[in-house]
Amino acid sequence: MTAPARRGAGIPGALVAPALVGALLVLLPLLGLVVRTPWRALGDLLGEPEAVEALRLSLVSASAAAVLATVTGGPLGWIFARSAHPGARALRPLVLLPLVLPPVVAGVALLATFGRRGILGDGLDALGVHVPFTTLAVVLAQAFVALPFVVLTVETGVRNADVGLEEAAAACGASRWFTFRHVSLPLLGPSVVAAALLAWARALGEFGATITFAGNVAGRTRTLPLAVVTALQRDTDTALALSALLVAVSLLVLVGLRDRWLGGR
Amino acid sequence: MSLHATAQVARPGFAMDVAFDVGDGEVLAVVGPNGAGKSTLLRLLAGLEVDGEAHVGVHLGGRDISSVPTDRRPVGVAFQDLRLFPHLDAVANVAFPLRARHRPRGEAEAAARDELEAVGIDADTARRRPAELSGGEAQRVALARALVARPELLLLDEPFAAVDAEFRPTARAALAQRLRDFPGVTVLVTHDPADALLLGDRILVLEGGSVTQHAPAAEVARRPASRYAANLVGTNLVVATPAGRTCRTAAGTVVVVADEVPEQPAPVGLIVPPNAVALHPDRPVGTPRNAWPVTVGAVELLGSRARVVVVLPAGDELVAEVTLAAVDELAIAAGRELWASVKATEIAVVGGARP
Repeated sequence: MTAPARRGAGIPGALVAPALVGALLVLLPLLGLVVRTPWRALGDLLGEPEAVEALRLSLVSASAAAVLATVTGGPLGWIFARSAHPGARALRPLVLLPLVLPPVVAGVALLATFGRRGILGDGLDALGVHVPFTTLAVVLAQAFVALPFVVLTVETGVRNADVGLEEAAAACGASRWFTFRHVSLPLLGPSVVAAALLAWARALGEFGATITFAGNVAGRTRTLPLAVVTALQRDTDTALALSALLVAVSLLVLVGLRDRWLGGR
Repeated sequence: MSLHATAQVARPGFAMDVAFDVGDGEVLAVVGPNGAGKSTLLRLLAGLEVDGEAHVGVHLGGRDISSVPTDRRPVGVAFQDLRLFPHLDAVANVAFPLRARHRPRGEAEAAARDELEAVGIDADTARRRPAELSGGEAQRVALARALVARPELLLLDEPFAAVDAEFRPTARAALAQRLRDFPGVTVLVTHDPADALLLGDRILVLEGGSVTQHAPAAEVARRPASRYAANLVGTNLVVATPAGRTCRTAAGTVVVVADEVPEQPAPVGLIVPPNAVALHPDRPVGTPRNAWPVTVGAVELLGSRARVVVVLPAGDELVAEVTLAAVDELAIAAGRELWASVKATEIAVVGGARP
């Protein structure tokens, strides 16, 4: 539907040119990718064991990271939305830091913590756990960068939730936990799904923290983005095919989020 | 199960000091202007308002529940904005208080269906979600949800706010019917005189955080103790200081009454029924003791009668109720200058009135 045109709510002509440049900035590279992608050989290229392995690893690790980020970031977002506690207010910007932190720095920080010479390295060694350069490291790196997306999305959802319904539930004799399970959480469902999808998409595209902390080990830590970069060094067609696959998956996530992030309000 | 409640609240910009009792099976209607503290009072009774500064005592059936959290109070609340759970159908909404008390689903839903039937919601409607219900249906579902767990204290906040005006009489009759069978205490907050007079056994008038009148509904209707209450029940209350049979308002209007008022420094209330205020085109002949030249203010049509606000020379206002024929005959409209008269014998004097 188009809104009826209203005088005074128009678009100044001076905005059109830079807006077009902005759109081209995104569209041109996408066009380049679409044009250069070897569509005929796509099946063969994506069917190669290394590509299949990278895809499988990406799906598994991104899903695990999304679950981890959602079950921990969700409660954080809830607390940030409701708590005026100074501790919570001090914690919030720190938890959101990965949003703006260079992913490579995140990888270094993870190494400094879970690495052999990291602050938890000795303790983990004693337990026989070795984190860096494993799939677990991939999941940790992805969850680290995805967490703030969950926190922000859930926090916004909780802030917009109707507190009156929780009062009504209390007046109905419902405990806080019963109210949470039967009123708050069902009504927050769309926010939680959106948060998990965003986290999943962010985890899927993770590169910098992963390669720093988990390395680039085929079959263990070489996710799709790492496979793209690896392929680029010898075989551009494979890199293009894998990239096209990532674009397709990203588009699917956007469609899944369309009510929230696309379209008008 | 009777209720004994006290509340003292002192906050910047708001103070409240009330104490009252309500008997079993009794309906207390709390009325008052906006901002008087009606909703706050209800929230205090429900335990929803937690305020370190407030001293609140709620004794239900002799038991002090003042510090019991809301979810463990034996209360049922119907909110002004209903607050039905949007993701649950009517049955699940009404079953909610029973489910919250760990009753099995089947049993809870059966009880919910019975309760819905009792408020006149049929089986088809009971399967709908709140968004698919009319205002009147949703209001009845909210009432059923408040009643289903057999509360000892039922709290109703503006119960018909969500109901279209034309359906309110029906909804009010249904609520009156349902309340007749309710053995507990009901506190009803409303600004609608019809709710207060038809549903309330007693009326508590709350103004600026304090009680200006607490009396049986019929008593409030007959002898309102404040101008707000008088306006609520559709009559005039003129506050004046008596000297014999002559009373003088603060603004200076002199009103003559039939019987001598005992000498007292405190002002009294003069209740002037609107239908006792006669309007004339010229100074009335004969001997009405009270006659004033007046200017017409607002005119409101009510069925075949009109309520006309007239402003007296000193600035006091009276409401006159006249027939539509009189409106036509006297060309009554805002700004028109007329004469108003009231027979001294029509004026009732009540003590202890508040402006």
